Order: sequence, then structure tokens, then C-alpha cells
Amino acid sequence: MKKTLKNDLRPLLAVLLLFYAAAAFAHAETGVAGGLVSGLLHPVLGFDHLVAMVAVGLWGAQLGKPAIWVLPITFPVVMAIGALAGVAGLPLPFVEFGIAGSALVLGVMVALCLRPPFWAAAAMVGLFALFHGHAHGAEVPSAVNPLAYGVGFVTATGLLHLAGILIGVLLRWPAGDKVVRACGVAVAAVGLLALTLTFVPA
Amino acid sequence: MKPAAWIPAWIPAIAVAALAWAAPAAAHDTPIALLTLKETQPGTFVERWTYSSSLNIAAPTPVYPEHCVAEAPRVVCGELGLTGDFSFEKLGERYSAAVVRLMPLEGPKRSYTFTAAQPVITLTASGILPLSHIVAAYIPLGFEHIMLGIDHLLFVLGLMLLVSSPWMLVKTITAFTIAHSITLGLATFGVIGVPEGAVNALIALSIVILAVEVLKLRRGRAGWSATYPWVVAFGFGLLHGLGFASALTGIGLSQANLPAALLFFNIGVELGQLAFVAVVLAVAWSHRQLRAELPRWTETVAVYGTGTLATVWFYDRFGAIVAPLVT
Amino acid sequence: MRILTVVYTLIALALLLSFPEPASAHLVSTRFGELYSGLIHPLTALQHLVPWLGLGLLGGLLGNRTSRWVLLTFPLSAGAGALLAGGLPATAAIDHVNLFSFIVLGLLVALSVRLNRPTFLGLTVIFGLSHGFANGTPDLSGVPLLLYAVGVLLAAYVLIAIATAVTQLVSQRAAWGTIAIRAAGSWIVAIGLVFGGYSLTAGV
Repeated sequence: MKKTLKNDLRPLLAVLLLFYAAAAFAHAETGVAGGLVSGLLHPVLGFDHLVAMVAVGLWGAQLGKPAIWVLPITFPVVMAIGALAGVAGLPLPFVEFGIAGSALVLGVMVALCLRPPFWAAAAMVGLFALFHGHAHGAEVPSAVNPLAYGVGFVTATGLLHLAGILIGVLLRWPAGDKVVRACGVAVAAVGLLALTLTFVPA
Repeated sequence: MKPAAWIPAWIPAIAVAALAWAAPAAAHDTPIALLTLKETQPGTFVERWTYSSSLNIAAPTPVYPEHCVAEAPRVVCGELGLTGDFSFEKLGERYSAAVVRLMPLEGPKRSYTFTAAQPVITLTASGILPLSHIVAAYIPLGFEHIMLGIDHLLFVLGLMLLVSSPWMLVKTITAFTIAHSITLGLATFGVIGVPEGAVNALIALSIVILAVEVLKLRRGRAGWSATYPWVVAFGFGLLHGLGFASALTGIGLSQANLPAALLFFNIGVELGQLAFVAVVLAVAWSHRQLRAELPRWTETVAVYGTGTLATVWFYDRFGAIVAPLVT
Repeated sequence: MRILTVVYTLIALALLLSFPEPASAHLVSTRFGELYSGLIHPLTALQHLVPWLGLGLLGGLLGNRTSRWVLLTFPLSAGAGALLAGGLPATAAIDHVNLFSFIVLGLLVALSVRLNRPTFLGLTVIFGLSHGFANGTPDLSGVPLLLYAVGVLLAAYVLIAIATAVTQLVSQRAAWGTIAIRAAGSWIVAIGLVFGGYSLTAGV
């Protein structure tokens, strides 16, 4: 009888949770919880961030191999390079514009199910990664615990990609393809809205 | 599941080596600082500190409600009395808990337990604490108590070596839990008295006996203890519960909050015990997954080491009881 | 069995006699000696936890014949590092090595590099020593230092054993497993880049 991964992992997950509960009673570092939470929330609270990251996963699923596995592996690193610029306080022009624009462009790509050559898609997503990273990175120096904040926003971004890829599983069915494209339309709409807001003087 | 293959031996081996090096532990207690506040005139209290730490580590600093003026050893609170937010600084670094025992001019005495998880308590005139305070204070205390109680953990480890299937492990750990909950409850409510020295000596002896039973099993002479490990767990569990009780009575509880405090302390103990069992099982599983099982003799050495250490504790604790009688 | 009982009673008596004042040392009232703080410290500090997980991911992607030795090398070198920290002055170089460990380990995982056994074990020893050292405290010496180091060793052992074994299970049993682990590696690189950049520019 072949054991399934699910059966093996369930008790382990419980173990890890208990274990961490044990450790949480004595903190060696300050602000871990606060830093983690603010880091996790940063990509989620910016709505254009959130939908753009899900769209990355969706598009990866549409493009299939190799994009589906290259994206989740390279995106965080490129994003971190953008974040470094943010940490160092180097200005990146049009950051808000870039983020809103990325949501619009990625949404359109998914909605129309466009398949440019792999290198072009990678370059486009990489450019967007820099903008997103910069926005997260700029918050690092003011975080309660910069490391915890970093762990938080990288994890949140990765999980949003995962959400996109999981929705992309629907592509196996003809109707699922329509659902994914509808998601793309929604992403593009959010991007467009955010884009117009960047032009409205505060 | 063979008992030989599923517990990594060098966890106890290293712990035993470290402990044997460091010196045998005497009766283990949770380090607690006790602050008694006696009302001498209405609204004026006098501080008195009692440390239960053997090393005179400075006590945590109390932070009184805002309207109180502290001029050690007196605290003047005026008409409002000692009500409002009371907290301690730097709690949890050296002391697990600080207990404030309040002795007002009128009315019953009250005790409040502060921990790192519950550093602020809002005092009220009626003296009854909200449930959230009790949960936040006593679950960590129970958890910490079992985590620091190496003798309880060694006993649980011994039980894990004695059982031969996961289901038997569940029954055994449940029996241990039920038994120590019973005596913990009885002792806390004062139904039975706890001769602390004797209990601690017997707890050490229980580990020795368990080590001997494990060794018997490993030589292929499975006695009744291996067939019915939950009986062993239950019997000695009664004893270990008395051990937990001596820690809880040391904390000083007010009668009004006693049942809830007892419940959540016990829950904390169970969570700690489950966490320990879970970690040991996870590590054992990891060894199997990585095909890194250790030879059988390493485990035998560890069991001998544990038995030896427990024997040393037994003599040490027994000696502590007998010595005053002799001299 | 009787002979056995006699033997270890004798051993116990010998041990007991070798401690002149056993009752004076309350292990627990000093928070279990320093064992407990040594055990908790690396597990609650993300700058250790994250790269240690990275090492577990790396080991889990390699074969059993290579990875299982990490159970021995990493805990022992982490414990040794913590011991060394008691005698040597703290140095910023160690922190830089630790920052570097985020990126090196993360990259190796993300690229799924098949390291050979000596290289892998060499890495575990180097990073074990550096992380152990960074966990140590110069205020300790003697028995408390030893207990603290044993605590760090146990933490390293438990964490690396579970992380390596879980990684191995996931990468073997699930088709997407290796990709997920490589993605996690790239998260560690990203975290290392951001934190490293922050540490170097802000001078932490």
C-alpha cells in the first residue's frame, strides 16, 4: 500500500505547530510577531499589489512549462533586488504607477490568454517585480523588526503566486479556462482603477 | 513498530550527560518572586519580598497603578485604594512569575499571579479576575512547568520506550494525564496533603523503576509493565500529579479563582506534554525517513544513563529528607 | 537483574559522592541552567531559523547517503560554535557570514545544486559554527556555558532533522514537491538580500 503524502504530513504539521507554540513563549528577538504581521499584510493590503501577484500565478499557469516553475523561483529574487533599492532609499521613478500598471498589463495578458515568447514574458514580469519589491523594501527600515517584515512580505508574495497557480489548475477543464480569463479581467479592472487614482492629485 | 527503532537515543543521552555534569537537580520548583502588600492604613501598603530562587537574583520591578506613589517600602494609593493597572517590568527573564499577595485591612486576602504572558493585571475592588487573565497566566505556567521538569519528561520518555504501538501510546499518555490531573486537583483543593520532599524522591524512584522495566523489555523479558503500560502510567501519574501540585500551591492562589486556575494550569501541562511527545515522535520519524537509525546499543546506553541519573536524584532527594532527622 | 541493580547503584553512589554539594545547585530555579535558553534562542530568532530551514531544504534535496550526516555535523558544530562564543570576543564578521548563509543556502536550494558529500558537510560545519557562535553569549563560562551550548545543539538537531526529513518526503512523494522546495529556497535568497541590504546600509 502506497502511503500518501497527505497522511504523512498531517501529524507533522500538528507537531510543527505545537513546537512553535512552545517556542513562542520565550522570545529572543523583539517585534517578531508585529514585524511578521505587517510584512504579511503589506502585499495584501495594497489591492493592486494583491491582484497583480495573483495574476502572475495565473499567467504562469496559462503559459505552462517552463514559466510555471521558473516564475515562482525567480520572482522573489528579482523582487528582492528591487527591495534592496527601496531599503537603500534609491528612488525608483513612477513606483505607484508601475505597480498599478503591472496589474493592468498582467490582467490583460491573462484575460486575452496572450503567449509572448518566454524571454519576453520573463523580462516583463521581472520589471514588474522590481517595482513591487521597491514598494515593499521602502518600508523595511521603519519596520519593528526588519527581518520579520522581510520574511512576511516575501512569504505573502509567494503565497499569492501560489493562489494564482492553484486557480490555474482550473485550466484543465474548458469552463475553467473562462473562469481564469474572467479573473484576468477583474485584475485588469483593479489595475485600471488604481492607475487612474495615481493621476488624481492627493 | 519495534521499540528499538523509533526513539532516537542521543536526545536522552545528551540531556543526561549535561545534567550529570551540571549536578543532580534537587526538587524542582518554578522560580517565583512573591510580593506581599500589607495595608497598614487605609490606602497605604507596605511591600515585603520573598524570593523562592536559590540565587538571590533581583526581583522584577513592580509598576503600580498611576495614582499610587511608591516610596519603598511604602506604597501610598489614597482613597482609590490599590485598583487599576498593576504590572511588572522584566518579568520572565529570570523569574517565571511574580505573585502579589494582597492583605487588605478589611476583607479576605487576595493573590494575583503575573507572568511574561500576563504582565499586566487590572485590579478591582471585588478581587475577582476575568477569565482571560487566568487563561493567559496559567496555561504558560503549566507549559513551562512541565518543560522545565526534566524528571516528568524523562518519565514520559520512558513510557514511550515501553509501548509498542501508536494506539498503546495514546492509551498510556491518556492514563498518565488522567492520573496526574486527579491528584493535582485533590492536592490543590487541600483534600490530600503533599509531603513535597517525599513526593520528589518517589518521582525520581519512578523513573528508576521505569528504566528497569524498559531494560527488561529490551532483553526480551516483557513483564506486565510492557503488556499494560497504562497501568504503570496511571499509578505513577498519581505521584507526578502531586509533584505538579507542589508547584501550583507555591504560586499562591486566591480561593475565588482556584478552579479556573487549576484547570488552565493543567491544560498548560498537557499541552507541554503533548508538545514533548510530538517532538520526540517527529525526530524519531525523521531518523527513519533519512535512514539514519542508530544501533540498538546506543539506546541501551541512554536508558542506563537515565536510570543512573534518576537513581542519583533519588538518593539526593531521599538524603534531603533523612539528613535533618539524623543530625 | 539483581547484579544489574547493584552495579548501577554503585555507579550512582560514585556519582553522588563526586558532587560535594549536590543540593546547592538547583538547576531549575536558574531556568534549567542555561539549557533552556540555549534551546529557545535559535528557534525564536529568525536570523537563525530561516537559514537553518534553508540547510534542511538543501539536505532534503540530496540523497540519503549525503543528507543523513547532517544530523551529526550540524548540531555538533553549532554546539561547538556556541561554546567558542563563551571564550572569544564577538565579531561582526560572524554576522556577515550568517547573512551570507541566507543567500548561499537559498541559492543552492533554488538552483537545486547536487552538492557532493564533502562540500555539503563542509557547508554544514561552517554555517553550524558561525550560527552557533552568533547564538552564544560572552557572559557565560564553565558549566552554564556548557549547558547553553548543549541547548543550542539540541535545537539545531531537532530543527535540522525534521526540516531535512520533511523536505525529503515532499520532494520524493509529490510531483510538485521539488518545485515548491526550490521556490522556498528562492524566498530565503530574497529574505537574505533584503535583510542583508538593510543590515549593511543601516549598520545593524
